[in-house]
Amino acid sequence: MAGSKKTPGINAASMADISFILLIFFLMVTTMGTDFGLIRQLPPMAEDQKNEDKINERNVFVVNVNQHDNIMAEKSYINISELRGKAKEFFFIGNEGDEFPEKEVKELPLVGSIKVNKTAVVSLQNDRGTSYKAYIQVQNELAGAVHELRNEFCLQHFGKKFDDCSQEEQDTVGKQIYPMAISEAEPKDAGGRRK
Amino acid sequence: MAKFRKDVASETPELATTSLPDIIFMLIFFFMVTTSMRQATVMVDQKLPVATEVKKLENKSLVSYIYLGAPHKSYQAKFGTATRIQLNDKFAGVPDIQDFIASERSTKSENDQKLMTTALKVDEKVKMGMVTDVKQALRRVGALKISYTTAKGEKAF
Repeated sequence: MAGSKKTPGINAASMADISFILLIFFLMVTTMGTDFGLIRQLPPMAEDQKNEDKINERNVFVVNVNQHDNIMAEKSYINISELRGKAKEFFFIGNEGDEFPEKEVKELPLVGSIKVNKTAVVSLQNDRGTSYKAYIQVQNELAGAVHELRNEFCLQHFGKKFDDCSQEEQDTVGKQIYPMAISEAEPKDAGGRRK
Repeated sequence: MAKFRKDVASETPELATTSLPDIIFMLIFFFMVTTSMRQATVMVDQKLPVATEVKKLENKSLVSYIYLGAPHKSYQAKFGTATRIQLNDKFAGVPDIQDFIASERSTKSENDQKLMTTALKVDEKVKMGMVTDVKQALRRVGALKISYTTAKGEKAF
């Protein structure tokens, strides 16, 4: 009668079912896929428009997108593929001359005294009829230009890419040398309203 | 007599597991009913534009979504094919955004309110006029942090 005294093992046959149920549950509840996006800060509702006017024309890189999704940068029609290069040329701190933004010498931590753009702003104007796709492409190219310049600067000075830099280095480069300055003008209805 | 009794007492009965699946099923139904899935059913076309310079959207619980696009085929009979705004589970107009943001804010703590992001999920065929209207509405209520949700791609054009 020794056998009958053993505690019987717990039946584990249903374990598989239980785990399957749990699995299905989590599959259903978990939202799959992460969202990616271009993160932007909208300007607060304008109270005084005078700030816009003060900026010198050579410090502003004007990009227009019309209702046919044609892109005009600095008064000439360009292709979307040229935009990144143009924007880089405009922002690049080594470019001097009347057509480029005003420069000033700044004393910065980590890099010492360096000549940077006093103010360099991209003014993005679009029409009500511009497609969202074209708008995002332009935003993307402008952001890409700034990212590339930041990376180039960081590689040159710190020997690594912008994303691999320390917070302090990122702050210096991202805020003082190559800030992401994209100003969106108040909406215009130049091309006429089309539904 | 004594031996007979001992025999009966020492034999532990096997655990009845036949009801276990039912119990688990009950649990699962409980969870299914109580879990609120935040993601609303999207009722508009959503072909997001592609961008390369994207950042990951952190802290999903602080993100409110605004969908823009033409209504899906199944809704077109009722709502037409013009671009519509979807807030939560229903179509809305631009003035409704104010209430939407206010109600999203009221569910968050004061500290979190500053970190709230509005994600614009806009179909690539939508005209900017509509997007601008939404952006102006967001500016009016002070929801300034926005994200243009895009697909992540190697090439943008």
